[in-house]
Amino acid sequence: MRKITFLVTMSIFVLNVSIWAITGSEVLKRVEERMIGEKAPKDMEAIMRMIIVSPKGSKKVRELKAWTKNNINEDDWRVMKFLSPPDIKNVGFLVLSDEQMYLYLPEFRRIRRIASHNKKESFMGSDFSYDDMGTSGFSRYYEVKLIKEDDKEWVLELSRKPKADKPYKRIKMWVSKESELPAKMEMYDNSDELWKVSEEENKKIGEYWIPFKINMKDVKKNSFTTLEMKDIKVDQGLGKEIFTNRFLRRRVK
Amino acid sequence: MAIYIKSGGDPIATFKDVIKPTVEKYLSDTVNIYYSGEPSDAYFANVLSTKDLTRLIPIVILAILIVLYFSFKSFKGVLFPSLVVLMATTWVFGLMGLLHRAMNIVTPALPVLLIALGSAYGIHVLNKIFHEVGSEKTKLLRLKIATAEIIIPVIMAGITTAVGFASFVTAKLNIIIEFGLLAGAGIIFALIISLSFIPAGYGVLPLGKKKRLLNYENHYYTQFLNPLAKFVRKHSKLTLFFALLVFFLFLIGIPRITREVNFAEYYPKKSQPRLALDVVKEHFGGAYPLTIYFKGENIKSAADLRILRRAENYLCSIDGVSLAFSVADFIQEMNFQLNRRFHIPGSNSGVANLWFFMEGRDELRQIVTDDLKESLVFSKLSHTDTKFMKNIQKKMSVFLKREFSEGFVRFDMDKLPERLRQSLRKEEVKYILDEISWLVSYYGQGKNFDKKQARIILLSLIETMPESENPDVKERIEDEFKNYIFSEYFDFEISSRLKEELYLKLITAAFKQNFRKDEIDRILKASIPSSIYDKEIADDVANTLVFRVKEAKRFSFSERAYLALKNIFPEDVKKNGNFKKKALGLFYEIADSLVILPINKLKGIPELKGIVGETVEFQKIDQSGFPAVLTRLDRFLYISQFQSLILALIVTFILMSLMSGSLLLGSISLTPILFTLGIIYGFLGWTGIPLDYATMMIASISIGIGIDYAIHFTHGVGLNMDKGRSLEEAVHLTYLEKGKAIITNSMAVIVGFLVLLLSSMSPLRHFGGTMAGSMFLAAFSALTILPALILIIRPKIGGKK
Repeated sequence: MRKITFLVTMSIFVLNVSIWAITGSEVLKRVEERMIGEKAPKDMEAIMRMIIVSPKGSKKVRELKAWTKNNINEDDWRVMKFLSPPDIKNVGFLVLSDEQMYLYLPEFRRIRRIASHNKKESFMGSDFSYDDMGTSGFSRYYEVKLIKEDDKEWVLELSRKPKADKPYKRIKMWVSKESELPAKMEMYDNSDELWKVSEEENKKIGEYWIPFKINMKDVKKNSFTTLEMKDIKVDQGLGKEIFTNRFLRRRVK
Repeated sequence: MAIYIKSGGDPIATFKDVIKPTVEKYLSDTVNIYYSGEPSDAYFANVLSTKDLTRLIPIVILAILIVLYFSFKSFKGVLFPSLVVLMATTWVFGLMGLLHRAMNIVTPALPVLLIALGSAYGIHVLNKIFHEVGSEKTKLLRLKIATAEIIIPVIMAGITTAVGFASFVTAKLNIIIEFGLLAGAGIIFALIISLSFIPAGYGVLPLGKKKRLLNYENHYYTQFLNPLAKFVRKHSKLTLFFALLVFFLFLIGIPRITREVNFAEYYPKKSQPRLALDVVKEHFGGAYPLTIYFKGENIKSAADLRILRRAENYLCSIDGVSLAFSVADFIQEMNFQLNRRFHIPGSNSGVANLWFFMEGRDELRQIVTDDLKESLVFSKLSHTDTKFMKNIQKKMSVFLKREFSEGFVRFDMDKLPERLRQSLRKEEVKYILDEISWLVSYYGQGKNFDKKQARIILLSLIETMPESENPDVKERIEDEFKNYIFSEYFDFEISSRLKEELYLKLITAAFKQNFRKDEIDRILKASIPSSIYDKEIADDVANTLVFRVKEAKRFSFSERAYLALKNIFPEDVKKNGNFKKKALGLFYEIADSLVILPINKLKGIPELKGIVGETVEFQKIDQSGFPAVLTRLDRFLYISQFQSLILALIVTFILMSLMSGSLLLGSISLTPILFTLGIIYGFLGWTGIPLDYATMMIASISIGIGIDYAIHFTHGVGLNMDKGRSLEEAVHLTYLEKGKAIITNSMAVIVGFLVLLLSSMSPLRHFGGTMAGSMFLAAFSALTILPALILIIRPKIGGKK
C-alpha cells in the first residue's frame, strides 16, 4: 500500500514537472516580449557610443542618437543619427522593416533606400551587420530548442528555418532568467563555423530590462565592437513623425 | 574564386592539403578547375619536378652504364663508378632531407648532374688502375702507385668542379644558391668516395685478367686519338687559327642574348600553371599584379583620392595593363549609384559620407589600411615575359617621377577670386585632359584623339560656365525641385496645392541669376503656414535648393563638355558607356569647387601671388608587383651571371697555377674553357635561347667541369716530361694515356646532360642541351687548343721544358 502511494505521488510529481517544464519556444517568446513585445518599452530614445576595435588594435569611435518604437506584432521602427565624428555628423539611418531601410547622406542631401542584400554588410565598419541593427525578432526566422537550463539562465539553440533570409545558420543563446534577455549569443555561419559572439549587459530602467552594453566580436576577423547606451529614455510617446524620411533629414541636436 | 591564405603558415602545404582537395570535392564534377597563383605554381613545380626525376633518373643511369661499359668493357668498370655515383647522390638527397630543403624546378637537374659528373672521378681512378694491370708489381703496390698518381689531378678536378658550383652563392636567388651548394657537396662526396671506395674495392676484389682489360694501345678510341695527336703536333698554329675564327664568329652573337626570369614561362605549355595563366589572361585581364603604393596622411581625403584615381587612369592606358582599380573607384561607383555622377566629391565630408557605406568591407582591406594612411592602386598584366615586364617597370618609373616628384596643392574655388578661379580652371582642364586621353587609349585600345582641339573646346566652355537661365540648366533645376518638393518626405508637410505654389515661386526665383539662400528663406516664410513653419527647417530647405542648383549647373557643364568633345573621340570609344560615365565624372570635377594641381603646374599663374593653397603630399609613392620584382630578378640574374663567372674563373686560375706551379700554365689551361664559353654564349645569342636561372649556371659549371680535362691533360704531359720525354712525345703520349679517360668522362657527362632534354621544364632542357654542347667543346678544345698552345708556347711543365 505504501508502495502504491509512493508510486502514485511520484507519478503526479513527475507529471507536474513535465507539464510545467518550459520549452525553448516559450523562452524565446519571453525574450521577444522583452525585446519587442508587451514587456518592451513602447519607445526609447538613447545616445549610443560605438567603439570599433580592429584586429590590429586600432580604435574608431562613433556616437549616434537612436529612437526606437516598439510596434507589437509588427516590425519595430528605428532611427539612428550620427553625432560624431564630424565628417559623418547627421548621417541618418531609418529602419521600418527588414525590407525598408533608408540612409540619409547630409553632404548630398539625399535619402537612399538600402537594398535588402546589403543587410549582411557591415554597419559602419563595425562588427554589427545591417541585419544585426535591424528589427529584432527570432521566432519568425528560427526554430528553437532549449538545450540547457540552470538556476540563472536558459540556453537555447536556434536553427534557421528554410528560406529564412538571415545570415546565421545557427545561434546559441544564453538567456538570463532575471532579465529574460540574451546575455550571450554565439552566431554560426552557413558552414556551421563560429562567426560572431555577442555579449550583453542589461539593466532595469523602470519596469523594463534594456541592454545598455553589447559587445560583438567577429571571431573570424578577430575584431570587436562595443555598443554602449546612455541617457536612455523610455515611453516618451514618440510619434510616427520621427520614423519618417522627413525626420531622417533633420539635423541632429 | 579568389582565395586568400593567411600569413604565417605554409601556403604550399595549405594549397595541397586544404584548398585543392576542398575545391575538387565540391566542384570537380561541375566545372573545369584552373589554379593560378604562387602557392599553386610552387605545388605544381614540385609535382613536375618529381615526375621529371622519376623519368630522368633511370634514363641517365642507363645511359651512363652504357657509356661506362663501352669504355671499360668490364663489369667492374661499370659497377664501381656506378656505386660511387649512387652513394654520392644518396648522400646529397639525404642531406637535403636533413636540412628540410624542399624540391623546386631545378632539383631534377641535381641527380642527373651528379650521376653524370660523379662518374668522372671513378672513370679516371679506374683508368689509372687498369693501366697498372700489366705490371709485375704486387696488387697492393699497383693500387698504391695508381692512386698516388691519380689523386692530385682527381682532387684538383673535383675541387675546381665544386668551386664552379659553389660560385652560385653570388646568385641572389635562393634556389640557385642551394642548388650550387648541394651540387658542390655532391661532387666532393663523389670525389671522396672515388678515391677511397674504388681502390679499396679493388684491394678486396681481383684486378682482373689482362686479356679482358683493354690498354690504351688497342682501344678503339686510340684510332681516333692517334691521328688527332699527329695533326695537332704538325699543325698547331692552324689549329689555333681555326679555333680563333670560330670563336669570334660566335662571339658576335653574345650581345643578342635575351633574358627570361619569369618562372611562369618555365612551365610546359600544357601544364596547370600555364593553362591557368591562359585562362586568367583571357577572361580576367591577366594573373600578374602591377600596383602603385601610396603612403600619405589621409587616403580618405578628396585630394588624395583624386590623385590615386589619376594614377589608376594612367595604368589603364598602358598596353597590356587592365582592370586597374583603387579605393577611388569604390567611392566613384558609390557616388554614381547614389548621385548619378562618377567622380570623387569635392569635399572630404562628401567622401566620408560615401565611405560610410563601404566601411568594413573585406575588399577595402586589400587596398587600404585601417589607419587610412596607405593604399594601393591595383592592376593586372596580360603578358608574362620579362621584356614586357621590364618595359612596364620603366614606363611606371618615368610616370611616377614626372607626376609625383614635387607634390600637389589643393584649392577651394569658392574661396577664391574669379580671376584666379579662371586661371586655375584652365590649368585643371589641361590636367584633366591627360586622364581623358588615357581613358580614350584604354577604351579605344590604343587609339588617340586630338588633345589640342579638345583643350581649345574646353577652355572656351569654361569661359561661359552654365547659369540658371540656360535651358539645359533650367530643365535640370525643374526636375530636381519637383523631385524634392513633391516628394513624400519634403521637409514641410503641406498640401499638394501649397507645394505647387511653392514650387512655382521657387523655380521662378531659381532661374534668375542671383538665386540666393535669403531669397528662398523669404519665399518659404511667405508660403509655409506659420503653424508649421520652422526657421531651422526652412534654412535646411534653402540650403538644399541652393545645393541642387549648384549641382544642376555642374551636371550641365559636364554634359556640355562631353557633347562638345564627343565628335573628336574615336567611334568605339564614343559608344562605350563606361567611358562616357568616367568622362562625365571628370568634366564634373572641372566645374566643382575642388582643384588639385601639381606644384609645377602652378608656376605660370601670376594671380596666385599671395594665395596659398593647401599642400597635398605623400610620404611615399612607389610601384610594386611583378614588373618591379622581375626587373629586380633580371638584374640579379645579370649580376649573378657575371659574379659567378668571374669567381669561378679566378678561383680556377689560382688553383691551376698553384697545381702547375706556373702562372703561364695556369692561363693556358683556361683557354679551352674560355673558348667553350664564347661559343656557348654566342650560341645562346644566335639561337634566341634565353639566359634564365638554369642557363645562367652554364658558365660556372662549364668552368668547373671543363677544366678537369685540362687538368688531366696537363698533368699527363707533366708526368711524361718527368719520365724524360720531349714535349712533343709527352703531348702525344698524353693523348693516348689520358685521351680515353677524357673522352669517356666527357661522353658520360654529355649523355647525362642530354637526358635533361627530356625534362618538362624549358630551362632544364635549354640547360641540358647547352651543357652537353659545352662539355663536348671543353673536351674537344682540351684535346686540340690546349695541346696546340702547349706546343707553341712551350711553358714549363713537370721538371723539363
